[in-house]
Amino acid sequence: MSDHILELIGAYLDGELHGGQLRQVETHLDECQSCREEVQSLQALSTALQAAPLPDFPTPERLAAEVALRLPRTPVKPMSRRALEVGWWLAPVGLILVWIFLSTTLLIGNVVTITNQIGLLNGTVTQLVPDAPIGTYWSGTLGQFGLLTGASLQWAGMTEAFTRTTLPPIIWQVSIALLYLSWMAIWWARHTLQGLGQPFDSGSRPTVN
Amino acid sequence: MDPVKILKRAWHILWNYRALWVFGLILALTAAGSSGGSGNNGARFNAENNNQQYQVPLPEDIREAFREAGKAIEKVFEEGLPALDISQGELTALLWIAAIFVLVMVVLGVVMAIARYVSETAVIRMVDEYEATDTKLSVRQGFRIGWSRTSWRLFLINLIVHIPVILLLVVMGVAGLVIYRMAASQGGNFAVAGIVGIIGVVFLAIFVVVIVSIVLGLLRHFFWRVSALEGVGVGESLRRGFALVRENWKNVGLMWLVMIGLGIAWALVSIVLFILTVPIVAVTAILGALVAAIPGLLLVGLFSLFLSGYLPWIAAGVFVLPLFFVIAFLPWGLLTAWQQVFASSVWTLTYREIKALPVQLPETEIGPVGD
Repeated sequence: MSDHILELIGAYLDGELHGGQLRQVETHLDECQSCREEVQSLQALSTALQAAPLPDFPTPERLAAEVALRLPRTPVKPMSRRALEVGWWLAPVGLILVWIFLSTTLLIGNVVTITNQIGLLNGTVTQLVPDAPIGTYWSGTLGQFGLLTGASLQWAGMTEAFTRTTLPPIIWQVSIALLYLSWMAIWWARHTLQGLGQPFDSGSRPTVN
Repeated sequence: MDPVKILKRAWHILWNYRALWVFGLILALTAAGSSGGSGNNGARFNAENNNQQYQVPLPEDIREAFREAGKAIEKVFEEGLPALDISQGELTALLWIAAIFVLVMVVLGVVMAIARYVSETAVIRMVDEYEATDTKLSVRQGFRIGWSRTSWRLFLINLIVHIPVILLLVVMGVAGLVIYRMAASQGGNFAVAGIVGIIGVVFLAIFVVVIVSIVLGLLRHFFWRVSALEGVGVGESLRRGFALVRENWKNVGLMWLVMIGLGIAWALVSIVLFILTVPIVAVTAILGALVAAIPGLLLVGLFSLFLSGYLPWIAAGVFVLPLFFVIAFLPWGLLTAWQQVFASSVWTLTYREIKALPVQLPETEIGPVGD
């Protein structure tokens, strides 16, 4: 008989064959020496495996602990270093908060000033809001001494008023922007040069045991 | 997650995927204004003539003023505006034209809102598709994948994110009313103390809501991407997006800080670019004037049936002015479009990177061996 039943031997040994398939295999085994030897060989292997002592598999928790021990270690950093790291990452957040605070203050100040000046507050906040226009002290003084006259005095007054009113908000906004960009430039440089730049990892290179 | 790698990739996508520019341009025209800054240039109001003491109008004065205004309007409708040589009939026609203009603007607003959310969806999905399969979709295909229920969900998510701002407006309105009532009805120190207290509350409300809005604006990137890329509903998008950001807050926070820095840098660069492109804008302005002149002249002809003199020209000018502005400022619109596409790509790539990251177990710190 040429049609061996090697592909069914595993199922036969595991007791998974039934009915016609089981009878077919048994009939074939009665007639085929080669397949019979294969069955005997597999039975011997199974017996040998069952007799062998079980390997000492660790529990999942133990395995996880052992793997964790082999993972790269994060060295314990001194407190000052940690504070420096946290400060480094909080710096841009602080700048954003300062910007929001100053913008809100400016907005509220402008709204109160305008509402007071158009008379909606009935003059109740004159103690808080300067009622007079922004003074032009320096140009006024120069004018009094006759150092500036006519159009030049007018220009000086306008320049001083601009410097006193419009310039400060521009200066602080540009300052915050420049500080922020400086922080980002440093971060970028650290990231490019050293491969660092993730939050709270500055200066701590992982070491593999 | 490597933010620099993401930025470089987004830059590459921006210049190598031109179909995205079309959607970026739509976003620039429809959404850039709503995502910009406060618009406060820091200038202080400085009235020249403020020595005069103003009297707060009392409620009966206001009622009287309303009565007088009503009489004046009635008179205008009966007699027209003789000073401006506008007859009663022309005034009625002008009011109808104004109503039609408002209607057109409302319809245009709805169309622009739809276009915005379809474009948002399209850009997110096109970038994701490009990253996943290296396939570039055409503009038509982009519209097809953008035109879906997801764009409606994106709108709803955006609405939810803006709820704090709406609440702030309500708080400020109430506070303003209280301040006015106190100032009008009571004098002395009580009113001053009350006003100072309310100013403090409004300050705190603005400060807190700005911070909350910033955080929600950050979360919105992920809510949108969960909705657009995972095809889930609004509630599920909010839940998953929040969970995603919470699990990866360090990576998301770093990306956010970097994007804010890039935003500042872009603001500085765009000032220079805006100045450099003024000659191009001058050319497009002429082009815009020529293009807008065609419908403008047709409208002048139409309005001439009801109006006379310079009125048809003014009315037609108001109608075609938006078209002129769109064409005239197209170069600046393109700059904003690039910025929009780049930002959207960065957040889509960040979302993909974060999704690909393994779930992080709580980190345990181990002391050096031998200690």
